[in-house]
Amino acid sequence: MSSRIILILLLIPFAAWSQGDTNTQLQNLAPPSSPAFVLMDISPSSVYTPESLKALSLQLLNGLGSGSSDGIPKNIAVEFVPFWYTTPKNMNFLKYYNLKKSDPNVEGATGYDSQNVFGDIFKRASVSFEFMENTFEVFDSPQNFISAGARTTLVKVLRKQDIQNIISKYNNYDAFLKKFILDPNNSIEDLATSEEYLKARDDLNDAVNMKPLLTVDLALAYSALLNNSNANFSDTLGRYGAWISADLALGFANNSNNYIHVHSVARYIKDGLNLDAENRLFNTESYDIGGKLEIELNKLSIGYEFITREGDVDEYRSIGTIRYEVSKSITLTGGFGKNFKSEDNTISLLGVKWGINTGEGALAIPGLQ
Amino acid sequence: MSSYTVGTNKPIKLKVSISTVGHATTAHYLNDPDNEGQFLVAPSSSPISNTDSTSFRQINNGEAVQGRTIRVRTILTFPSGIDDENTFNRAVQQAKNTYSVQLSGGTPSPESFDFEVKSIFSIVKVAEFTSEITFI
Repeated sequence: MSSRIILILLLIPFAAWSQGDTNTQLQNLAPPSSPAFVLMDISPSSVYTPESLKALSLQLLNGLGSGSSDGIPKNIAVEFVPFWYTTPKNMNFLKYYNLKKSDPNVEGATGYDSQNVFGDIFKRASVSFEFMENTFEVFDSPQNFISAGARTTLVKVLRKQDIQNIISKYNNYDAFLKKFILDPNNSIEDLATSEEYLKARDDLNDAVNMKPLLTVDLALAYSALLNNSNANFSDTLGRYGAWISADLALGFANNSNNYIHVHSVARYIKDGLNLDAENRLFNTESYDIGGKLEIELNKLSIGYEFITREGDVDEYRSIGTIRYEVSKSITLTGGFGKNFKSEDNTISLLGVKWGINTGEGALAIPGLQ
Repeated sequence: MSSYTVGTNKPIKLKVSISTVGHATTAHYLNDPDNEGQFLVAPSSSPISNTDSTSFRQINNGEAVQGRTIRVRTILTFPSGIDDENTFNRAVQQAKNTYSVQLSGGTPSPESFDFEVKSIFSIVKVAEFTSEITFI
């Protein structure tokens, strides 16, 4: 009963927001990478880069064979980005992508020739609340946890040539719209059928979405066990942690969509999910250090991560991960290997990223039409 | 439609400002009394975007505008970073909260004016801000 109540509470903001917007059932689902999922080791990867800047998103994760026999996801999160609920001052498109003028007297976009590497700290900050159900290798039966988390990008470094490319594509885009608006009879509906506009837009979109050379992300999360009348576990603190991760993205094969990622992660965790010989919970403190090597080939990403946990416990996590973008609407993510606390290879997780709404109609699944 | 008392004053100046994560392009048009009031792009005016400097700029080459109507139009587009309609609506709301159309040179000076917003979330993510002000 308590799980249903919490689930309803988590869904209230999502449901309230979706009222009056009949096309939003699927479009705000996001990959299972929120901090609490990572904290509880039930995300496919412990190493991640925040992707979603959606004002509000819903995340689902189903573990294969982990108490989800009814098909209803037991792990669910609501995440929102506070930036979208503020009114930024003196903002423009180039500043949003962290470009700034080295000389404030230079007019126009060309003056934005340098970068603010700390510019994403607030813009990309997100807050999430999660509900999850799992045994966490401790309990005989799945237990309910509620969590809160926050994350942001501390540092993002763009390559100099990528900044120049953004400005070049921005100037093309800007020139088109300045020409377009000169005719009072041009309507904004005309933009959707203008090949020249769509090309200029896609070129600019590609330019600002080039992988940064370096990103450093910070996350915090806290998870607590919900009181369960069937077990005397209510005294446990659950788990909390803070971690920092970095991603160095090196392009190769002269292809803008191919990268070798070198990730690193450091994490502090205080963990109350430990059972002693008398079946009593106790706390441990630990420090995780590890990394991940990932090859990104267009729509397919394959990686391997290894993280050691030291302190009061001595464990490791060894996971292979895979992610494939089926279409703009669907991305499959998975993780397979050995998790912390596991005696054998027990992780087998799949996540699905559903339907980014491009405004182009219903969700399309290739091969099923 | 709003009105602005200018009499025979000149020059009358326009300033449009907006703070947004998107790209905003602004132009203004004056009606043509000799052509059934059709709006034409104002003489010697050039569109500005929100990465250009914001300042008061004279309209109609600095000549008197009494009896004419100005239409101020800003096209706001989001070429990247907006994938879903909820975030799009938030981004448009941010722009609405900061959008300002001001005229100077009349009474009072400067004066701010109302505007209307139309938005489309489709293959393009675009909004249009318009104001029409008659000079009296």
